[in-house]
Amino acid sequence: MSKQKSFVTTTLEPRWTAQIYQAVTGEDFLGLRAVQESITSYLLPGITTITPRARYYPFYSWLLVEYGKKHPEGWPLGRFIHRREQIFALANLAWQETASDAVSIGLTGSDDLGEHWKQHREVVDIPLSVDNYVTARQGGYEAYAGVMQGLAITRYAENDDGLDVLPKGQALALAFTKSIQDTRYYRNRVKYDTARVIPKDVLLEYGERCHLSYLARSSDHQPTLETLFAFDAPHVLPHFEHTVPTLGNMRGTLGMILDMFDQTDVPLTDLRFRECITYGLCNDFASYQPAPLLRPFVAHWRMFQLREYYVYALYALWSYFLSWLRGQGQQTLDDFCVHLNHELDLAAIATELGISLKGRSLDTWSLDSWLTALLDVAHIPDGNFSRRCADFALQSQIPLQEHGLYLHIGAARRSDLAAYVGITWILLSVLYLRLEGIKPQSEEAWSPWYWARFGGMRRRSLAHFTRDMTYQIENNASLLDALRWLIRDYVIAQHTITALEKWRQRNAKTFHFNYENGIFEWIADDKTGFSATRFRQAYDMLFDLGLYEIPSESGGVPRLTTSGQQTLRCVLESLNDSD
Amino acid sequence: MTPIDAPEPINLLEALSEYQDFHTAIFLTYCADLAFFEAAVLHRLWQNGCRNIAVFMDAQRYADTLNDMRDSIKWVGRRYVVCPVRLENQRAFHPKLALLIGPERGRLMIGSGNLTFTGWGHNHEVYSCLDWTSVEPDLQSLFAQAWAFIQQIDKRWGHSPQIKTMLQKAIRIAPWLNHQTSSPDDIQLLHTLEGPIVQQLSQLLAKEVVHKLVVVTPFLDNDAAAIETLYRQFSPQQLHLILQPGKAVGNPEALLKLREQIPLQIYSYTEPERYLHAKIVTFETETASYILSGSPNCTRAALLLPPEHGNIEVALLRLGETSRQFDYVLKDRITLSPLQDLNALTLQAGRLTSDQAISSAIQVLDATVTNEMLNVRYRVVHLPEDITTLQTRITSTPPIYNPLKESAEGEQSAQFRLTQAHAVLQARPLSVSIGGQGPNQTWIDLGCNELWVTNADELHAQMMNTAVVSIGSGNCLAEGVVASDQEWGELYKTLAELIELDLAGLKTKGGTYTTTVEMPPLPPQPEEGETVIHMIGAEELARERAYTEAIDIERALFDESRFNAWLEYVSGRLSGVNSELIEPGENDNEDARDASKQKGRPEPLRVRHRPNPRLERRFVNLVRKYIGSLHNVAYMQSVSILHILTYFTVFQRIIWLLFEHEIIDQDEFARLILEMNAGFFGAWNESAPLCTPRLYRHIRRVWQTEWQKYEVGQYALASMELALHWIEQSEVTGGAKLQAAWQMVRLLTGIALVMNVKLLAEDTEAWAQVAKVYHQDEEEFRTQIRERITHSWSDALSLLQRWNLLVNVDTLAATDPNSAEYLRREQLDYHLAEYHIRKQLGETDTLLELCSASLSKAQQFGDLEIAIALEEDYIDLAEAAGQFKEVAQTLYKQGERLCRDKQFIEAYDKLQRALAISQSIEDSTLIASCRRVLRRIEFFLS
Repeated sequence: MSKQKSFVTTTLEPRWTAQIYQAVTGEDFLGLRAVQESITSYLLPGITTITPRARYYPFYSWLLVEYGKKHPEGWPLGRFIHRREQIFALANLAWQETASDAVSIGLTGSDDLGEHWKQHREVVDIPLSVDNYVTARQGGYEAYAGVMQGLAITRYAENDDGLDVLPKGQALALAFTKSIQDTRYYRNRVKYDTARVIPKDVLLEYGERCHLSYLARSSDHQPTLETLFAFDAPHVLPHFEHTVPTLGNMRGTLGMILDMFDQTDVPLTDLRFRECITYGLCNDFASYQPAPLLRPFVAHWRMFQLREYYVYALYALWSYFLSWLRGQGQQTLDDFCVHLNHELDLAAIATELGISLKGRSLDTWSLDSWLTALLDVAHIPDGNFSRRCADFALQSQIPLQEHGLYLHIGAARRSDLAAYVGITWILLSVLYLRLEGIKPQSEEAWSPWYWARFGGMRRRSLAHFTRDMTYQIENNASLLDALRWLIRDYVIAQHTITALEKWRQRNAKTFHFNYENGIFEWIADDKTGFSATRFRQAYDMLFDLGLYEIPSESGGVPRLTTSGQQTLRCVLESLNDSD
Repeated sequence: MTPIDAPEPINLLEALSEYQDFHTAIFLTYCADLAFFEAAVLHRLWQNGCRNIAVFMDAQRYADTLNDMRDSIKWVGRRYVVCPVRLENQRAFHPKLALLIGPERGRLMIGSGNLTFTGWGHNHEVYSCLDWTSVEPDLQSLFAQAWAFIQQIDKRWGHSPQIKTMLQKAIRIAPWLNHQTSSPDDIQLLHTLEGPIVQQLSQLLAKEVVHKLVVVTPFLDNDAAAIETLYRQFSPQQLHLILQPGKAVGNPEALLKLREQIPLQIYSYTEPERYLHAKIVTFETETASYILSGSPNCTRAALLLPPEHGNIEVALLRLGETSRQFDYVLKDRITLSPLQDLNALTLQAGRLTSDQAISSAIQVLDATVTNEMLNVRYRVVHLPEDITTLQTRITSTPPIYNPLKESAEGEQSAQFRLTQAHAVLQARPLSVSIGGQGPNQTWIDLGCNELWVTNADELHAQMMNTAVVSIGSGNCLAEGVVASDQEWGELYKTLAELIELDLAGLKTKGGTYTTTVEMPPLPPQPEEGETVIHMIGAEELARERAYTEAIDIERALFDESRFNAWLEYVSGRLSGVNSELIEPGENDNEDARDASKQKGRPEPLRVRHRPNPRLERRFVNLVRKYIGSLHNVAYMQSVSILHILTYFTVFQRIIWLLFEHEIIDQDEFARLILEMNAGFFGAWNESAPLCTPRLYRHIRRVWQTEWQKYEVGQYALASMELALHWIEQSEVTGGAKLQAAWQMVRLLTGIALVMNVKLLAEDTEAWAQVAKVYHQDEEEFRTQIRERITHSWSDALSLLQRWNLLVNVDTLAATDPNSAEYLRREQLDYHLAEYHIRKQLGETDTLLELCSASLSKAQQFGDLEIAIALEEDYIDLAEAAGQFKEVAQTLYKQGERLCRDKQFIEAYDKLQRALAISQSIEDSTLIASCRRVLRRIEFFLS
């Protein structure tokens, strides 16, 4: 090699390598929560976490019909919505200042428009200048558009990209018109579409009629109730894979919530709702025993919540693993297992939870004997394993109960080995026993167990989890083997697959650890938690519809109104008539 | 002097998918994140049609893929193969190299990043990306070196037959990889199989006076021996060491001590976010500079130790034109002044994972699924005394255990039929390990390694699943209808594109199809090209005989070609399509065309369209060029046989398509068909195919299956029959008619060399297809051809006898023993052809002799299939001739062979017959032999 010779390479090399990702944000880093989202979409197709107020259904229906009839020339739908929704929000804000029974929770644009209102509340003419109160192109309607299609209020037009307002939507629009038709705003609405200001008293008058909290007393109440409960939908709980609309499930789920209101003697929170759907079918769960016709709905919701506990547990293991990695520096999976084996005393944890187990180290404690011990402490009579699991699944009042374990974990710190691995492992074990107990003996074409299979291997379905646990038992695995398998396949591999998926889709680096040469290195923490049930939104909507009340002396315990009792009866009757 | 601005960073994934011309991708890496590999690398390669993919990685890190990440991996063994490289003595297989190989292009990437997300996209790594193209082959020697390096690795540490096949396929498709040329002046590939890197550097820079030496490394050995040796070897005035604070691994005390002895200055790498994993050494002289970049860290194992004790590393050494040429690499990345306080660096102690026990009692070498059988090769080193039985464990869920018969020390193999595991294998990768079998068939861990199973069945199926470039053009050819200029254009484009893409060495000039072939350089040869080419061919074929996998490689390569995918589509679409055709009204008056139409065809849907004159010319030229290529010796010797066979049938159909669309008339059709058949089978007056350099490769019985599959014989006979029919009716001279008739005889004789013509004539399914393509009444057409064959048999026999003589002469004249043996061996085809023709002619008196001679030749050359077929004939013929002893002996041999193959019932029948005949002729020796084998069979049957 000599410098006198000729050069064949012309490029400047070597070169530094480029970073192959950009964004570093994201959520659901184990990619497990999409399954729950599908179940809630199936069981509550007309409500999402961003559609909290029932009155928007008639309001947006009215806007769509109005736009179809007449709108300022050249205005796209979005601009039209932005203008009318701005006035609607201002009217709501104006009115609620004068009325104690009106609340603006869930009012689209309430942040910016609230500020705007505060600034101009003293003037006679309120400027209509806050068209950017929300970034969505079609204003608040964008959040409701999907569920309005789900509720058969609108649908995409067949020949172009426009929308058809279906008879239900037209009825809602008409009813909303009736509610506001004798206001000055209604009469001059076309003028206000392009006006720079609107008089405050016009807003006040309009607000009294259109307020989100006044649905129950307005003309649009009944059509909204019928739309949300979908009394006319022919099918309830149709097969998920069939193309039949799932609209009929609205009345089952909303009816189930009304049924809970009817029985509860404590405030019905999201956590209480989760407990009720998990144990509603247990013989010993006194807080809620669903009406027979609602039991199929509870069975579907139970699968949702069991998956929630399962995902919560996996996220807890994940959070702990990251937390441990952060504290320990570069480590191998074997190191982690050694740590668990040395540090985790399951018997001690069980004692703290109020049960007595004969302790052994994780590597000498067989999974088989561990699960048997759990069944024993739950006082499940002796018998074969399947029978015992079936008995276990019918009980809620057991020392080691999913919901109680969840609360224990939730109260602990992420670096708490006992809670985040020990109790989590107990939670997963209990889940396994319950799932084994409710698993149908033969493959049914369509049953709530479908949700256990939903998500397949990629989303670590419950069925895969139970199958793999069973194989671990058959393979004489120790608790350490089982934990290693869970951490390796259901946490580390799952995160790797998910992070690579997000990287491919969005060029985002969401890895929470580096892995090279068999060594893990911490990058970021993560936390566990539940995904949304949509219960809170349903709860608010049922209130908007006036189906229950919370008497001031009840301590927050809801009571069905007459309308609520009547609606519940209608639900049960219609379920009785359904196919 | 101002440093040159740094070039844009290289995006390795983009570099990987920049070109689409790669067939094979080979990666060498220390560790690999296979989930990343599948999501990022494999995905891109597949999108670009690159399906022949192998990864070599360190065995210890390979174990990580099974122990830590197994569930995130989906395609290992199913779309690519990973080979663990197991080095002894704590050595690491540490190179980072990617070699992309195509017929016309190669890309070589050598750098510091492992095949992981961090190595390819997060860390600070350096890479060089080098290209070879047939137009710019300057870096030929580097590619040849890299290829040789990979082959050495596979030879010494590879146990996967699948990877060997992949490498063979790669060299077949890109023979340029093997061409040795002199190294370029400014770049050298160094690897540790050639000796310690530092020793190679010393030799290469022997004449240089190094002023300054800069080392960038993430790892130093514990006593800083490598950095010290670099100093001692090159004695620079300045020695700079660049380390990343908080990340670099090294021993501060050793560095402090060294700094007291030599002018070592340590700088801090200033980019904190991304891990500095690059390994660079630059050498600055008075007037030039050098940079070494690649896998070696500045450690003893990477730079100093000989191959048997050190790591396996690979790097590039580049020469810069000026002394500051490579300053751009570290520009703005290091502190301005050296660090005085080494504590500021917070060097890390090495964190290595525990070594896997290399010397375990047993080692799995390979696990491959072929034809639903799992083949496991393993090496038993030394079993504990209490272990008597071994078992494999397939780690599906649940695991599947199979006992192993062999547990003796040494290399063993076992086969299992996959049942339940096979279904699992379709969905997920599986791994295999071996352990002892304890009481109740429990598993005893013997520290055996675990291997991913290579599913050769699926790999092969995936190879076949190659994207078809133009379904539309396939449809046109399948239907025999081209309905617009656009369709004609598409068909032309597809033919030109597919043919050019699939042929290694076939050059494109000005975007048009050409038969000019760039051949690999041949050894020096005398002027008389033909004889020499013949001899080369014979040598090649002798090798082919010895290594039958060469033919398998050729088949595998063809299977995965886009042309084959297109052809499958054309063939698959044939049935039922032709019944939907329309005839343009203006054709109705032409008798010849009417005669060729199928009677009673239903009303068609699409109308044939005659293309514009330009397209017409292009198509006719394409056909002429193709025919020209059939007469081009170099082309016919370089193109794969499967391409020769398939192009032949495709162009038969193209010529018919031109005729049906009135682009050529029947005279032109006949002329083209005659020329094409003369090219493919040889002209009527040419020598025997075996003595003709452009014919000897494809007119051989060894390709019988492919001839049948692609219906070569049927298309040849059908088109010749149509051509002859029109020639006989035309006004051409008697001589021309005679020549055409002789061409038909030559064609028939050529087919007889490859297959039994009687069986060919009876293949009703194939004939139905061919008749549909040519729009002939199937029965009528077959009868017509059968009669033609019958009339030509005696002439074919004469021709064959002449060929036999010519081959004999050539055999006797052959000076090279390889060639002589090859000719003798291949003559079996000629004997067999003669035997079949005589059988057709009913010449029973000579049949026995011919059959006997062919049989002994087949046995002599180990051609069992032919021998078995001939034995049946021989028994009948000998029995008819009253040669009972020969009959009994043959039956006995058959029975004994069947018994060996455990086909006891068939064996029993044969031996009973042999016994009966032996008893009738009172041959006591044969009687005893028959009884002995029969007793054995009876034992098994009982």
